[in-house]
Amino acid sequence: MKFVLNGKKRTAEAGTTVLEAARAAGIDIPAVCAHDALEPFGACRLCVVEIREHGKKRPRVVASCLYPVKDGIEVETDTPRIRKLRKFLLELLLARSPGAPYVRELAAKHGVTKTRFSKLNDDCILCGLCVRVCSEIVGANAIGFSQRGIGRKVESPFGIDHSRCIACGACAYVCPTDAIDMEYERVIELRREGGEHLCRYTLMGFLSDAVCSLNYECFHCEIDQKFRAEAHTHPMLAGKQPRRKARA
Amino acid sequence: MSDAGSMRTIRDVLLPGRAGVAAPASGGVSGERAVQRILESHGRMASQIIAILQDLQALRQYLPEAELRLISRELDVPLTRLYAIATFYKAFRLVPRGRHEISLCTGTACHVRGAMRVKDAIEREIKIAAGGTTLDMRFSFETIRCLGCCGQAPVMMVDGELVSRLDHLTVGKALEKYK
Amino acid sequence: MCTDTGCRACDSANVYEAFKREIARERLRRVDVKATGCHGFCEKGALVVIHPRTILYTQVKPLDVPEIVAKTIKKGELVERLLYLDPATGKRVELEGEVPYYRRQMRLILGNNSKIDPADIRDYLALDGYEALRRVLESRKPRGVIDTIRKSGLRGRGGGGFPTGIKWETARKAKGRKRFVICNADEGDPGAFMDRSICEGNPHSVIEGIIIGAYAVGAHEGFIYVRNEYPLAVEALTTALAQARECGLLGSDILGSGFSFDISISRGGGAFVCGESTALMASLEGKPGEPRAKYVHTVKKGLWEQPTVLNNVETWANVPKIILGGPAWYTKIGTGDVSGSPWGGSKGTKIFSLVGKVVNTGLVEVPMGMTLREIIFDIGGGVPKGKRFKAVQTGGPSGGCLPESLLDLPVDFDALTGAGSMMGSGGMIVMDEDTCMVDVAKYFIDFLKDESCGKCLPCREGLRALLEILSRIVEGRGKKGDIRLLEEISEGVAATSLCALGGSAPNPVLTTIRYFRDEYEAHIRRKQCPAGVCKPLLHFSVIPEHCTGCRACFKVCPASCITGKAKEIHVIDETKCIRCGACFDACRFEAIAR
Repeated sequence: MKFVLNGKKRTAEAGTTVLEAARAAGIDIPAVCAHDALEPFGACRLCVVEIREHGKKRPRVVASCLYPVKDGIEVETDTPRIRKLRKFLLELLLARSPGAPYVRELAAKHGVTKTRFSKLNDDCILCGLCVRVCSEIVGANAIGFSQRGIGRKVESPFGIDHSRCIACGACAYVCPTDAIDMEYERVIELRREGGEHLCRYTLMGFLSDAVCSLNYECFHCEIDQKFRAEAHTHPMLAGKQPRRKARA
Repeated sequence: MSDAGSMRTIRDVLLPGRAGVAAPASGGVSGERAVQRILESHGRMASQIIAILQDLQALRQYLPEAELRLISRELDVPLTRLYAIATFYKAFRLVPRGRHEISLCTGTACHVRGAMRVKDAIEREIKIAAGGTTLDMRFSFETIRCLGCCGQAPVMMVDGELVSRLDHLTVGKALEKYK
Repeated sequence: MCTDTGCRACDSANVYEAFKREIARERLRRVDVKATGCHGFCEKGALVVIHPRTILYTQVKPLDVPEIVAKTIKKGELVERLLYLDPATGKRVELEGEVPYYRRQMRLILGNNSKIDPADIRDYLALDGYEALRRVLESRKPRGVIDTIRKSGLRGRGGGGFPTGIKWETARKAKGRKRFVICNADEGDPGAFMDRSICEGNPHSVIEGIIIGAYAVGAHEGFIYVRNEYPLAVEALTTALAQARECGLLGSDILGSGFSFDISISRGGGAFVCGESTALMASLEGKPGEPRAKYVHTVKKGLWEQPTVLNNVETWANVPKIILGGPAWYTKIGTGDVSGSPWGGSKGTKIFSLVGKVVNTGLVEVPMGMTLREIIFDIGGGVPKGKRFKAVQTGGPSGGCLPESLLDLPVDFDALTGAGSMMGSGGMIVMDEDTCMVDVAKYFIDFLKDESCGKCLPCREGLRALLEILSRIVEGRGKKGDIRLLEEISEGVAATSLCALGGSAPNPVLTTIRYFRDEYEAHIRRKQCPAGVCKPLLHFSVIPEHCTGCRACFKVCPASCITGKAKEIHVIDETKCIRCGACFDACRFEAIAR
């Protein structure tokens, strides 16, 4: 695929998204809900860019994490319009989660330090990384979205059912705003439950039949430390191949 | 074919058990068998989950937690997905509702013809806000968008029957017969 | 007689029963009563048409029936008081076709509603039903069908206006294991009920169109996705599908052609967003109705990632007519020139649901290109009770409000878009001087906020922000700069939203600001609601000079805030007043000020 990115001619393999192509070319596009190990989601819209399709007169604003590179497109990632839209989105985000350092820093980086909208004070930015990790990589489907519209939230079924959670902590690991504390809550439940007290790494599928002898105080445990040191990321994410990179 | 029997109302279509229209022969068996029958009737396909939940709700008037768990196991569909569906679509309820369900249309035509005043009048009459159920479980009241009877706006549906050309001064009387 | 949902709300089911009883009692063997779908003149429901003369009786009640049978059916005499009274001439009109409301319409699609019983396929067959399908199958030329549709200029009636022929062409050429056709009967625009009436009144017209389309693109499975709030439509379609199968019009080897195709019905779960094509498909796949980006179109990758043709009910219903009449005939109706491309015009008729503050509410079907003024005033009879016209809202929550100065715009796919609105699926809501346009904007944003799927940031949080500002304004807490802010948020939401719900959500706000800015300014600067709607800005008080002490207001006041003895001037206690306006309505001496 031949296309133009910020004025320069580039090529990419079929199936590459504009975001992937941009990152491969060293161009920084903010994208809160995107993650190398997960399918693109397109919820935060911060990755918007302007694209002029082959043969069309006016550019379109599209989410680069989802838009597939096509022959002949012209991509601009930092036009005045895009900068204005990004600021608008960050202002909305800041109104939702003013207390989250991640949000404040990201907004400040793009010149947004205050918001004119009323504050929700919800640290969860609904990026969906936790839900998608649990579903796509861990396969436990212990948490999901519920409700719709402004009431949308992340929770386990009926708000209380953690039974499918294997306490791997991948959700807490990927959460950018530390809005999830599942690992801690679930671990407390595991301590209370009767039965064998299987090691969390057995639950995650890395060891067979190991039993926990530290009452789930994992931060003291050598096994936990070994797994974390070996992977540069959360153990559940370590095995997953990142999506194909673009040849830029 | 249209002559057979009297006109069926919306109530008959929605609630076969309640209205006394011939329900399936084994209406009244244990919970699990009824659920299994619903699953079978939809080929046990996960893509049919919305229709399955609609049938379950028609049977139970809401979606009981235990039966959702059963469906999750039987269809091998994560409970989170069922819960997401049950809370996303407004047709579903996870808690039982009142004996009489009042649905007031607040579509644009009804709105322009004074539906909000009718809403206030109903709230004053049954003493609960829209979205709630009275303590004695007699009435549930909700607002919905557009029943499609815009020519007779404002309109409400009580237990599946339409009451049209409402007026904030007379709606109280219209509800008398349900008290 | 009409037994559509609308007339049922006027007790038409009981009128039907009364006719049956009376006919049986009088032992009239050559008389029959047929329960049909919507006749369109909803304001005057329940409607009864006596054939063969086509005498139209309006607002018929069950108690009127014995008289109708005794006089009209047995003796051929008219029951004057039930005939339509034309306000323009002051005279009663006898025949259906002479009623001004109907005379100016071109009821291509809805016309047969009054002649057929939707539960009996024989009625449809008697009116050339499935003849178009037969011809199509006999021709053995699916590409020919696509060509015909393309030449006719048919464009989607659901609001998008995309040329149907091009859509089918793309689907046919697309790569995939299977192809699907879907009928979008999730008519969510509040105030619109065209699709409901077609589905309830003439389901076979839709089914025939779908089968033809499936044949043209090579699909063997079809779905009709009906809103959960339309149970009678679901029932009518289910019955019709069963009868079509019995007649060999659905299933394997249709009419011996070798083509196999069947349709199943899916009900919605109560979500306006499921009218959006990708959300609808997600719902069909058993998931929450979250739209997805359409960077790869659903005609290429739609349901289950296969090529899918999704069309609106009214679009499908037009197909058999085009096959029978031919594209040359069809292109004579409507506007523009489609000889080069279907995008060049708006051909055929469009059904509108004309509702709100209009004398003749109901379904109106006219050729495209008729002006708003003609539809609202000539057919609709104008605004009732002598009130002044203020605005017409078209296109549902994706559309906008147009003022009196634009009433001469022709209604088609393109003319209204330039003014900031759109024709949409056909909802046309008339508003008068008693409608507050800021309240209307708030109403739509409130609606969209509830219906948003919530996945993307701009729609979910942006609509919340818009609603907050609009709420402040109607409550008298508007600030300088609010209009500017509304416009800024609107631009951001429209540009970055994931789907068309968010993408078009700002339209009602932007059009009301554009054409009714003075009302916004009255609310913000002077804390006044000129239309007298926004309660927090209203003050009710008695005008002593006009008060006669008749106690009418006292009797209706629900907050017991009016004091005064009989024949003495009454007083309203503003601290207790809940501003319901009941006193204002009740007073006959104009003694209440608002």
